[in-house]
Amino acid sequence: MAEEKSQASSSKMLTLKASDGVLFEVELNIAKEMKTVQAYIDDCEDIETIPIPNVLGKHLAIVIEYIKKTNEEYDAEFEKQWNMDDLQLLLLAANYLNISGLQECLCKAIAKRIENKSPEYVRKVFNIENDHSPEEEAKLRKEYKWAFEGVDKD
Amino acid sequence: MKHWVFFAASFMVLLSGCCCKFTKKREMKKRDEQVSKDEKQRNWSKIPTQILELILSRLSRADFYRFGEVCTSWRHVFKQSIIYRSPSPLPSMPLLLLYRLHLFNDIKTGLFSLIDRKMYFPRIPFFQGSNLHCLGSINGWLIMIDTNATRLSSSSSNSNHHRFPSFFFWNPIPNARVMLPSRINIPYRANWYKLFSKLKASSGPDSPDCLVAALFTGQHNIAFCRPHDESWNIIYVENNNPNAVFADIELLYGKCYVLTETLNYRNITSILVYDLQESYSSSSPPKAKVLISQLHQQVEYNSPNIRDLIFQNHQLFFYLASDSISGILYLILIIVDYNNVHPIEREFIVYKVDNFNNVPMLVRVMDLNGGILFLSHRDSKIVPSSTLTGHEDLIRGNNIYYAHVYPYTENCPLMPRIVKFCMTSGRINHIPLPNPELGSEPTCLWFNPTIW
Repeated sequence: MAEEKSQASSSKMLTLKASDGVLFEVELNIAKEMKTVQAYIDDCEDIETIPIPNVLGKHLAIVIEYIKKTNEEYDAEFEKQWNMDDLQLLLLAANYLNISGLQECLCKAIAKRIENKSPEYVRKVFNIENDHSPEEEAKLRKEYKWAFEGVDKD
Repeated sequence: MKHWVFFAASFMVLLSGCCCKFTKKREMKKRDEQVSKDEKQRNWSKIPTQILELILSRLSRADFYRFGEVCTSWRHVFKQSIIYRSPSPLPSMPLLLLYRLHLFNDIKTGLFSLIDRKMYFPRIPFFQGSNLHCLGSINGWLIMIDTNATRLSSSSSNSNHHRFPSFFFWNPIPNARVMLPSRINIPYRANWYKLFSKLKASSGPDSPDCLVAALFTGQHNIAFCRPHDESWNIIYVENNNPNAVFADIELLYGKCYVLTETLNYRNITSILVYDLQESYSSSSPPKAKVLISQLHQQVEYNSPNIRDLIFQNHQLFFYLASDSISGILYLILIIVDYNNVHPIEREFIVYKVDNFNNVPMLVRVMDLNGGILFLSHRDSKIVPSSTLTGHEDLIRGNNIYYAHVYPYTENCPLMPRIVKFCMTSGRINHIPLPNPELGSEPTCLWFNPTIW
């Protein structure tokens, strides 16, 4: 009992429960990087298990690892590992958990995938349907034609 | 007994194993169903606005516009960002704005991009009619003169003395205008735009400290004003030295710096400074102070071969430029060789104005503090390279992009030339323009369009 207590005072552990029930034990300072969790702690101080209803265990694990390891090199390599679906779920998780560093890293990655690409290519990669009416689309093209400079070949 | 326990235990393990497999199968079936419900891949059109805005803020200007074209929900976020002026795209390289008067009075406007080396012809009629001329640019604004707009004062009849052109800031994208005073106390002339060499602004018109200075062509005076003034203020030089012509101007921290040269041999003589801001607060006309005199000697001291070059059919072009972030005033010398079919830029020499024992002097420099200088006859601007995104060759600091239209000669048609000078390596590269049409008196200047 004494051992546990001393452990608690040096680095308090917190349990995060993902939407699919997976439990993660993390140090308090790691959990605090997630501003949503921080707000939860501020509201109820004695809480030990915090529910994260919007994030799957798979993605929460990735997020926690990111917070632990983040630095410039790690960030540069981080975004390359994930497919578009995972990127979106990680981005939604980072947004929900309010982790600014991860949000920036992922948004930069998305922006890189959009850079110098035509709207058609972007629709393909991001699985988006073109719901513009043909008149709208023609109007857009005309309006800012000079902005369509430097587009890579698809 | 033991066997029974063993048998029971193994049976339990088998059973639990089967159960596991069972639940796993059930889970997998559920997941498959879910996947087929969502379609094979997640759709990005429905993600929260907050995230879309974060992505927008990391796009360059061109990507920013293309973002709006992808689908209606992305377009909505794009449109909102224009209305609320936030988020803004990442800063981009300026485009070269080219407008020229065709032989048949048809104005064509082209925008040349350094990124893909292509010429774009905007649908928006940038300059409709021959009465509009661009005399400068700052941020996303073009500084224009409209020679058709005449204002007749109440007491005039047919008198030309009361007809003035209109001056204004113009942002062609949202088609926004901010008027400048049109009253300017000089006699009416037919070609107002030829009267001015350039119009320089200290900032965009949305800034409260916005100052505009006008350089008269081949004269020795300037005019200045602020957007809400009633009229322009013209500074008349007291000791009229007809040999001292105002060749270039630059604004920095409320002061106007003037480069003077002699009329005949185009030798630069001095840099003067007028404190315009101080003149507004004291309500008295600004007086010229000599910042540096005997300028040509200082330049020759650094490059003794200049005199020889002039005799070898080379011409010297001088420009002022300033960096508002570092507060440095630069003098740029470009040595152009006229011995061949086309004029060729041979050397770029950059000086900064520095203080030695409180005496301002020219000091030759080999860098622009990491900035990129975009230079043309009508304008100069220094952009910090750290704010730009793009290919690293393109946005590398301490480079000069110089665009110039050389006067027409038999062998040299009126085509603007763009060269890139790398201060670190000393290399000069010519950037070819895709066959622009010829015209008389084409004008080019660097323009960085903004959405608002």
